[in-house]
Amino acid sequence: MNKKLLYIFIIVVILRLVFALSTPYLDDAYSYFHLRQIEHISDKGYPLYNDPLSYGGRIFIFLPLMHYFLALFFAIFKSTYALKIVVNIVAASLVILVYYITYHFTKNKNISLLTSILSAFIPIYLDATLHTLTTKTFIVPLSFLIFYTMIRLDNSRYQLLNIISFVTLIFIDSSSIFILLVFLVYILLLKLEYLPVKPSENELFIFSFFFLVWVYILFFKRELLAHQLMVLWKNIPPQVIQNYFQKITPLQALYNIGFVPFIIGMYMVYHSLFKKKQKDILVFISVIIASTFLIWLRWGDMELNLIYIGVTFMILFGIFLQNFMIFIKKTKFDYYKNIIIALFVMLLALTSVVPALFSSWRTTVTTEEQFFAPFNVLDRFVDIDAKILSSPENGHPIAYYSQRKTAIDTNYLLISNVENMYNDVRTIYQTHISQLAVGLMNKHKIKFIYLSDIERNEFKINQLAYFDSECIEVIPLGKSYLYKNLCGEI
Amino acid sequence: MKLIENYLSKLANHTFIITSFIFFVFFSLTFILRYLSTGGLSYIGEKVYYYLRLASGFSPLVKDELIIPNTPYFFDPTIIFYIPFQYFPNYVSIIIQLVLGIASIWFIYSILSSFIKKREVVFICVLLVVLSPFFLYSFVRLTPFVFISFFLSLAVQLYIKNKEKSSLILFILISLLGIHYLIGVVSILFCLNNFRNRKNAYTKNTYTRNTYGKITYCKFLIVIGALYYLITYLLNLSPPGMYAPRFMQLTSLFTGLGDATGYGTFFILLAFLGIFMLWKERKDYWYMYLFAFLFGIYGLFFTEVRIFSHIFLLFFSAQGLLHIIYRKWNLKLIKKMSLFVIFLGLLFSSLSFIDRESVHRPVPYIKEIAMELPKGIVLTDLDIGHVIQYYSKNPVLYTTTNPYDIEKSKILFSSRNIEITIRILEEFNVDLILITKNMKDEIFSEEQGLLFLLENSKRFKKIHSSSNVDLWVVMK
Repeated sequence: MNKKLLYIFIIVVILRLVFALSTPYLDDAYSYFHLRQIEHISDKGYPLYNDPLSYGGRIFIFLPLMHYFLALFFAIFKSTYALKIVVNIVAASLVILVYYITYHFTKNKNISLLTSILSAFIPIYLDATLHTLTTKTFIVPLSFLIFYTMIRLDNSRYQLLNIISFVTLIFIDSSSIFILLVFLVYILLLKLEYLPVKPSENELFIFSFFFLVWVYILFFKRELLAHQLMVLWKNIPPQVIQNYFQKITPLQALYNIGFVPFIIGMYMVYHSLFKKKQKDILVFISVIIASTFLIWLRWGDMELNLIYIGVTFMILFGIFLQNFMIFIKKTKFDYYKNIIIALFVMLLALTSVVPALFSSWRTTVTTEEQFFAPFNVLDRFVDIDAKILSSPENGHPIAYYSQRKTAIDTNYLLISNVENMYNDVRTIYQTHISQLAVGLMNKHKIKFIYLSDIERNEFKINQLAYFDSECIEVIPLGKSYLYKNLCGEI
Repeated sequence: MKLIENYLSKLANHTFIITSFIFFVFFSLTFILRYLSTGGLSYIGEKVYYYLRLASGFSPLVKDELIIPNTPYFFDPTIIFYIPFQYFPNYVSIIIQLVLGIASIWFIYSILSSFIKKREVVFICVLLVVLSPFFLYSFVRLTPFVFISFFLSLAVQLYIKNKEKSSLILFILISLLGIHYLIGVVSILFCLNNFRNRKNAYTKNTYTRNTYGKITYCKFLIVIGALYYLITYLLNLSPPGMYAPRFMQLTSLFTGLGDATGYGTFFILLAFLGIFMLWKERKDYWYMYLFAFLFGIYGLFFTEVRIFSHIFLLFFSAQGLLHIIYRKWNLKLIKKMSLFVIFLGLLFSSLSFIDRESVHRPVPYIKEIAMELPKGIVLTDLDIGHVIQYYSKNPVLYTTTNPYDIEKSKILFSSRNIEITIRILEEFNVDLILITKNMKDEIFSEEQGLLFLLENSKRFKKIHSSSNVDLWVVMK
């Protein structure tokens, strides 16, 4: 490996760890689902598919490779800090891949190094992988490894690497279907541009396609039978899907990707498709098309799709920089080329690196107080068999910290009548009629209601309207509250 | 790659034995697992009880007294096949189903051998048929498909061997069972007559037929069929198969999504590959493309048609698989891995189907409950209506062949308003309500609707309760 690249990688890892290790908490509520699974695997050796806490006890099947991998470290170090170190090293590995991909196109080490540094500070990627245990940490580097090996399929080493990385990805997250979509768009683009499709590309596509379908049918047979095509939307209640997509506005999306990479990336897409046809770039243009398509259809994880777009635009920015330098050499501005590049970098730093670092600092500061302090004391107030209602998002940290049953969380698969369930939850939080709320709580065997800022935002309330009812006992937990159902039949 | 071809060559020498053995294993496994999980060897699926009950009248012309409201006489020739089966113990029926399945494999093998030059290709095609969940479905359940699959393969075999009179009799026999079968048979004959792809390396063209002969043959079949359906119509009997089309969900096309008559996921994927690969030769195979498309759509409305749509699907699936096996691969390792994955995928389609069939309703305890039911009109799960009718001789409000006023049933099951519920129950004179464990799990989640009323109203009295069923009497 290039020494400079190694230094960049080490610096990025250190920088990430400075932020990540400043708090023991995890920023994303879903990380606590992963953490429970990792702890369970390190303890028992198998994942907690039959979860006794989620929805008061249910079966939830997921792809466990990431959990097994992290459980190895957890078993040795018994600390979330160890997990944070591992995931941040994995996330930082993206800089290496971006370097090699950019170098493949530009054959210019300096530009590739610059692009790789910048890729470490894509705001949305840093935000999504810094304080979290998420499959995205593994998905993104693996996906770009697959894309890189796709453009180097002539070499048998890369063929093998492509298969290994794809098979690994399949067992990490179902969003590996995205890779197939990219394959498909890529082949379509090749056909449209009258460019030849290599037999090895076809062959890899056939294998990947059949293997993925087979594995997912095996893993998610029960889910397919239960939800049929709704499984593509993970059985998420329509109300939640709508809220989720309203959370990120186009302007925010642009901010998260970075303004400059976006504008230059769009220009490069146009340039590659209509001006200079280059086969390998089509792989990355396919990534952008496939991600946009998924965002438009509201399939998959929007944040992940934005990360794909952000990283790809950064690579295209590197290629643009190389083209720009070649162009500028032919002009009278050649003398000022270093100044122009410095200006570009400064602009990028202002629009990408600074927001990314600011966002990292902000999440580090707010992580502790915003979410998790009250969860630590829940088990003191809640009986061991009692079920706690919260917003779906808070279901995971509550289950992790309190080890108590939760009424709802964000794993909606295999939950029947999930739409009604979510409506009931919303009614319990929003209604003014205590009898109605108590009736619904009894129907779902709920003993406690948790109220924090997350619930306040989600259900647009300040507190439960019926908190002074004789059926309700209020237990303050700092800014959050716990409401006990005194008229419960359980 | 020589290794795969050598293996294939060796296996192809024993195509019939190997494929029959696989079928035997799958078939036996279904019933062994069923015996172990349900404790009995009951028929799979409840429709068979409907046919067996009607067969006790020894006539295809029947008036079903147990349907509410009572219907006039109707004509269903399929009943004739079931007349002997009412005397057989279950295990004898199962053995007959197995034998008919193996015989069908022989006919299919024989048909393909007369078309295809390479033994290995014949082996792959027959293997695909046997691994297809629909083929297994056709023989593990005593549905009309058992007889139609058997007679259709026999008829085609006779037709190819130029035994025209015998084949014509069988084709007519199948065509008279339902209007959709007539359309299917004519389409199959049309395709057989056109199947002369000289460019394809896998086929030989030993089978020829003069144009005059084939047209006369098809015309004769169409005329006979048309006359038959006209006569049944004029006699005011609803012609077999003539019912209002019911659009099934697209998901019903996939057996992996729970529909037993659906297509295996890997078969569909291979078929798409086959359609894509054969596209260059579409002029030679235009009729296969056309019928595959038409029957694909047709099969969304009528389950009977699925037997024919599967034939077209399997044709394209075989093309897809053959392409993967015989194409020259750059990445040798990927070829082996792809074939391995595809084989596992096909195998798992069948194994997953076997798993579901082994626990498919009705389970034996329903028989015991039905035999002890007091007299009266019964309201119960749609999926066990025929079993209750067969064993108890009681009329049942809703059955799969008579889902009378399904909207009212939805109200009945979901309403918490006692007045509405009682009004509907009185309208149909319901005496007994049989609630199964399955109904509690699937229809009434969280003790809602009818289940809530049963528990909380004095108009209902529980007269039997066990872990599997509760029986309630409606107090008049």
